[in-house]
Amino acid sequence: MSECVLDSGRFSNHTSTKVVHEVHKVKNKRLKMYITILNFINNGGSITDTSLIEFEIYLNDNDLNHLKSLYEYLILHKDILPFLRAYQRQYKESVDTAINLVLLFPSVDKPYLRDSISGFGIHKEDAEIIVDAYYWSSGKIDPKYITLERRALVNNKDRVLHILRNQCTEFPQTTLNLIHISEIPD
Amino acid sequence: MNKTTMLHQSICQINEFHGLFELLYEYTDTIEEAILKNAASGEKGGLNTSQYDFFNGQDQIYLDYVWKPFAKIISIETVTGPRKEQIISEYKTNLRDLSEYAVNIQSNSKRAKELNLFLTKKEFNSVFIDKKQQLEKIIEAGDLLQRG
Repeated sequence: MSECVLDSGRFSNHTSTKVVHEVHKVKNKRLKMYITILNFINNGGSITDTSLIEFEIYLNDNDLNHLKSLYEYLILHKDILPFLRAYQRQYKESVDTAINLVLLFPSVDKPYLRDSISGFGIHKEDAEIIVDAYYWSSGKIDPKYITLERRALVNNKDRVLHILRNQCTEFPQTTLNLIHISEIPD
Repeated sequence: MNKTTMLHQSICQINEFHGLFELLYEYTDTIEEAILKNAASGEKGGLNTSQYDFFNGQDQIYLDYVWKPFAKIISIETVTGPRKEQIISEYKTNLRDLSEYAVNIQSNSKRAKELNLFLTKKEFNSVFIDKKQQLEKIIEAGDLLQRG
């Protein structure tokens, strides 16, 4: 879906520097998956207190049981590792390609606006990106903010836009619309 | 077992090599992908000249930028004779900065991509068609591991 949007040529695609930063952060975390699994297999699949510290994660008993059965599975199916490497290469390539298809807008630093719209299911991080989008939308024709977060957005759309239009006085009100990715017009 | 997996597993098990794993991984990733690509598109006539030259040049690249830092660590650990101390200190200094190796290995990866030695999404799906279900389990666990 997102691929169709970026590739279609029907829109001019933008994002803010904060978004790209976050995407790279998630990407780099996920790309550690192979080495994490390789190390676990090398340790005989046992999850020790030391390895938990090493990977900076908190696991409850349920998570631990899930992981234990997964590693037991992997020790018997090492043939999955070449595939995992190939999968990671594809994943990295597709993220980097997607980032190259969008134009960058520098993030703004507006903590007051951010805190005015966050809450009601909107995290501070998401709020910062919506504020970025509002600043970007100034002077744009038919600007749209597209997100995958249906729940937070549907419940908050009118409230968020009302606050932004009334509290951001640095430029005339914009016509920014917030839509779910499935609502992109054909 | 898959040879790359075996190599990764053996290198991982030797503490002295820990700092070099990233270099090795980036290099084997490039080669593994290039070989998969060649196999996936083989029936269409095989390699073109630049791709052929790329594969042909790999022994030198491997020797200069992948094997060399490993060899230096082995020397540090095993060297004997009158120049022992000098060699140890020289090699340790050299290994403090791995950027020369890293830059060359990265440009080798970039070259492979420019030469189209990288599976398309379609090729990837058809090569690994039977692995889809196994993948889902692992992705689930990967997200779990990276949480927090």
